Amino acid sequence: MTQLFDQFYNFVGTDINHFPIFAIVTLFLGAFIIAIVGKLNKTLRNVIVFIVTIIPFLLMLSLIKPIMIDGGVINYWMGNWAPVGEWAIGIGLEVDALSLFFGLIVTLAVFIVAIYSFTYMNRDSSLENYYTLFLMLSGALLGLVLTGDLFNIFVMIEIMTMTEVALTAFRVDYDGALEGAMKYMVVGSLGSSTVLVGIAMLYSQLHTLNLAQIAASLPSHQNAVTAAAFAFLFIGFASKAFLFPFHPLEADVNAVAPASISMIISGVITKCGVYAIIRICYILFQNIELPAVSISVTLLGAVSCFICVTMAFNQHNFRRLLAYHSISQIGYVIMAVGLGSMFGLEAGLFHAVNHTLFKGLLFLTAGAVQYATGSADLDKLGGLVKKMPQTCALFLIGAASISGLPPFNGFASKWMIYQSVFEKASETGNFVYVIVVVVCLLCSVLTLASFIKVAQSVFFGQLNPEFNKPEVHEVPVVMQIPMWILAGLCVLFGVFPNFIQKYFLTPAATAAFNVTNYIDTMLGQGTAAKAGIQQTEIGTVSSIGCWQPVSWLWLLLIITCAVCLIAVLGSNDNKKHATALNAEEKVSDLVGVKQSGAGRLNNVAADASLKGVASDHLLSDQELIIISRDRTIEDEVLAGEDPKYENFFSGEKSEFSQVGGSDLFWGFKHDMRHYFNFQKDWHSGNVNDYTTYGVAAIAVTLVLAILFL
Amino acid sequence: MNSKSSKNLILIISLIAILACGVSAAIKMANSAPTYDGTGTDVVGLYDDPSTYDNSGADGVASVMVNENNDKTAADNVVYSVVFNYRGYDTLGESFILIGAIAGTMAILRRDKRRGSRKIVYYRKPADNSKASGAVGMEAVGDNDLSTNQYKRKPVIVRCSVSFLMPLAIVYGWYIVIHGAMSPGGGFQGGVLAAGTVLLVYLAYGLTGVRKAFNPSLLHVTETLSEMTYVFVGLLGIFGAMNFCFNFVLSGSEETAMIMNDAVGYHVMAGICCLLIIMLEALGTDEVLPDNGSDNITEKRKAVAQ
Amino acid sequence: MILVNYIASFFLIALGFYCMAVKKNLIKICIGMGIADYGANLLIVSVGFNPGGTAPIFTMSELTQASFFVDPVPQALTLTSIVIGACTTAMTLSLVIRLKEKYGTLQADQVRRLRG
Repeated sequence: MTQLFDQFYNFVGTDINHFPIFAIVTLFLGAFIIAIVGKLNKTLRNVIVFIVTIIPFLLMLSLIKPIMIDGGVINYWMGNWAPVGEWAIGIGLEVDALSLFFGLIVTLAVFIVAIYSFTYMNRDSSLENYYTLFLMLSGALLGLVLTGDLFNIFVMIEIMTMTEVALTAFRVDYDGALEGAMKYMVVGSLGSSTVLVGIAMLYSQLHTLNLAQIAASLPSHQNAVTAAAFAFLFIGFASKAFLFPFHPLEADVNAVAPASISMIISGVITKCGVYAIIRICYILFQNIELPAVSISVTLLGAVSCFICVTMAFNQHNFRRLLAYHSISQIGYVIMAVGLGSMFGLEAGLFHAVNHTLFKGLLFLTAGAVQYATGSADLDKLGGLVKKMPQTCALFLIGAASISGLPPFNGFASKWMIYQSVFEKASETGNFVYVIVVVVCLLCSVLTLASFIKVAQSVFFGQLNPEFNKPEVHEVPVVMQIPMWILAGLCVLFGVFPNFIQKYFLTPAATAAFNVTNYIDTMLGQGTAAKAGIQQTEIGTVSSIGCWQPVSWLWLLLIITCAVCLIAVLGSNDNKKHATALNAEEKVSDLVGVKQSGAGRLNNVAADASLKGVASDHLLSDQELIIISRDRTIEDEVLAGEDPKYENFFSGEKSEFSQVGGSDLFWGFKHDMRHYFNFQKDWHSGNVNDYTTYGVAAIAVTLVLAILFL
Repeated sequence: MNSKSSKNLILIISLIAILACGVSAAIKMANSAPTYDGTGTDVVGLYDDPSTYDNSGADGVASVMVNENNDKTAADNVVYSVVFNYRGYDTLGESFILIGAIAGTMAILRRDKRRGSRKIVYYRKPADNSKASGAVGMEAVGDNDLSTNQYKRKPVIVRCSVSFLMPLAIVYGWYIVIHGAMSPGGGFQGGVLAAGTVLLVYLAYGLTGVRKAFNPSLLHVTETLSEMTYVFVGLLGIFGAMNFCFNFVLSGSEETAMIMNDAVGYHVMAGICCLLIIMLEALGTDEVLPDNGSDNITEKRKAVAQ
Repeated sequence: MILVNYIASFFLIALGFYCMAVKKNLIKICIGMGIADYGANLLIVSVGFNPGGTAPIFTMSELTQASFFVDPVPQALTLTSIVIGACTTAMTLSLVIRLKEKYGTLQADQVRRLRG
């Protein structure tokens, strides 16, 4: 095996430098070919999409050895316009371990989404446009993470925004699709304009656009203009990562886009924003060491995390809820990135890749549910475990991962984040980090609660009679394969975090700190030293603390106890419920059926006594007979229903009265209603308001940057 | 209402802060050195003998680009060199955006489910203005009611001048494209000028005329092909053992940038045409002659005569 | 001299943001996006200006020993960003056309089915 690899790398030789551009161009060429021949033949189209998405993935995989393991950096000057003197006149691709890390995320996600789309999108029309846009989006994302030129990043971000908007609105007849796309277009163009302004300001001071050269000359050119440029660039990229003031957009976009695109948006596009933020903070401006920047970024992450996790509580739409959780997890990533420590960055990167995996999995299961039932409304869905057992299992894996339960990947990365924040807190003694830790833990608990709610509303509970028909069944196997791949990776990454840390996280984090290497590879040895950039000492790599058997044992014990307790309580409740309502059951059912027949209110007479009910509703014997005949018919319709799932219901079998997302935590929500109403007021859904928040964010960042940098 | 006023307050304060920071940064930027101080460069000398450049005193990327322009590229226009040579990859990305916009617009505006894909709703002025209905006092007329050529044409002056201007616009557009290497212009600017013909036709003959004159799906396919030409020219550099977008046929006044330029010119022309046609089709309305079928112009002429 | 350009460009950007945040009409919001974009373009193209410079084209009949060029790079960047802005506008307008059909209104505060 090793020999085979050696032979491969010997055969390729220095041509391996062409791999990044091949990967980017393959995706774009695929888009063009689809634009021309996509209309003709469905099979041909799918084959082309499959080929052009797997090639970049394989190319990225083949780069792991030279870059991740051997620690090399690929620099590639477009058109052989190598730097003259110290000026980089051409556009260069620069692939270091950090770029490759995100490149792997992008290509893996794109490949999985492409397979998923074959079946998922088959009910839509104009699919050649879908695949053209999708491949262009993927190419832009890959180009964004691999490039070494600031203006090229802007161009790629614009392609990304444009295609993302079009894909969001792709199902034009889906309710709200156009609205979500419009909002993203407006606020996204705000973000793009700020990036452009930042680039112009940097160019006016440094006379170059190459990232390495900017990194080399920035320390000697620090002034108010570069500080403002930092603010503009930061907010522009934060808007692409949907951080705090931009988070309503992600919810709007993800709720209405096709589920495959939702996975790309929340799994990859946000990561590209994170990548750009890491790039400007660590390599370009090298200011993450400053306490002001570090604390601001960490707090930004904490605020995003907290607000989005509470916003998710209020949601009634499956995908909207997932979207808010997505930002809350990105908040974790940014929190860890903002620490500026080696281990913090590793934790952030690990959580970023894990987020792609589990959030991708969750979005794909949401898409599967929507594909089978045609609905993503938590108040309508329910009891799908009997119809879609595999999807349910996949959802539970994803939910356990995102809530940070062992042995899934979310546990390992969240543990790393806690550990890094603890380390930073004890190192600096700053009180802010203590608050951040508390917010972290609180958000994790709320995430778990939120996913219990979703599991109850979608997969357990009572099956909506509307979906109790043979058309609602498990999704085709082509849609399941990508989900099982993601689920398998979730488990693998959770079980072997040390392996991931050694081969992926440490090289990527080292690359982010190794500014001199980044500059020297691009512009020739000694450039960094001439520019006065000292090699920052790369922090020692701490090991992940999650493999301590004792803590594991404790956690497992606690979880087992909790599960047992819930099970015991649940069964008690069930018994009591059953005996108490035994006598009344019949009549209340009958009344329910009658009322549903008459089209009146459905939720009455649950705890009324037998006599009272009968007299209240003045049921004559004849009517009772008629109703019981109706009841038998109804029973046939509702065949296959199991009363053991009905502990939440008031004895009415005939009417579907799902305990929806709004009810499971109604007490909590009632207690916190002032907060939730306040949030609802501010998340008004008006695009003007979202723009206002964006403008406010720009202003705050600008003022902070000019004051502190 | 309270939150509304607080939002307004936030907006005003933010805008003032942005303006204040912007102005302070602007003053700082205006006082700093220009990005390219060309005063020391002898441009006439560079033109006469391209190899006499000296990059040692370069103060930015632009300085190097101007110095090397005549030696390393075949274009006189440095902006053109930057667009197609030094930063050819950006130009590629920029034309991807155009393709993305076209594919996106086609996807958003497609109406296969609800209406026939290519159908015009004709409107006409009702015979008596009192029972005006429809959007702007017009009444709708089905497609079937019309015999050919009954759609309303614009006045003869407009039609004549369009017939005169249309070839001129295309020729002028392509003049700008082809002379991009030595005068202001290039693929993008010329392509957009040439694409103006769609609007000219729309002005004179309405949507029916546009539909007769242009074939949007053919335009879309050919513009994609021209974009693929660009990518293949770039890839040829790799197969010539150099890098992507390498300028491998540089000799005298010829270089790969010329092919790229023409490809981009055609791409932009066809792309913008396509975009305009899609958006005009989305409006999907055209005006037809009044009921009696007589020409507007003759009526007006009569009215004037009376 | 060039300071006027810079200040004007920041003013345009702020004006565009104001338009996007205050105007209810979606077409006006689209115009606001355009204005902010033009502000950024003006900023870039002004960055490359050098008082007294000529266009960076080697046209021999017009160049003299004393003439010098302005920076060509920002002009190329502006070219790119103008095309991008045009595509953005086209896309937004097509969205607006469909929104008007679907919601029957152009008012941004009535186009808010997705909220909370």
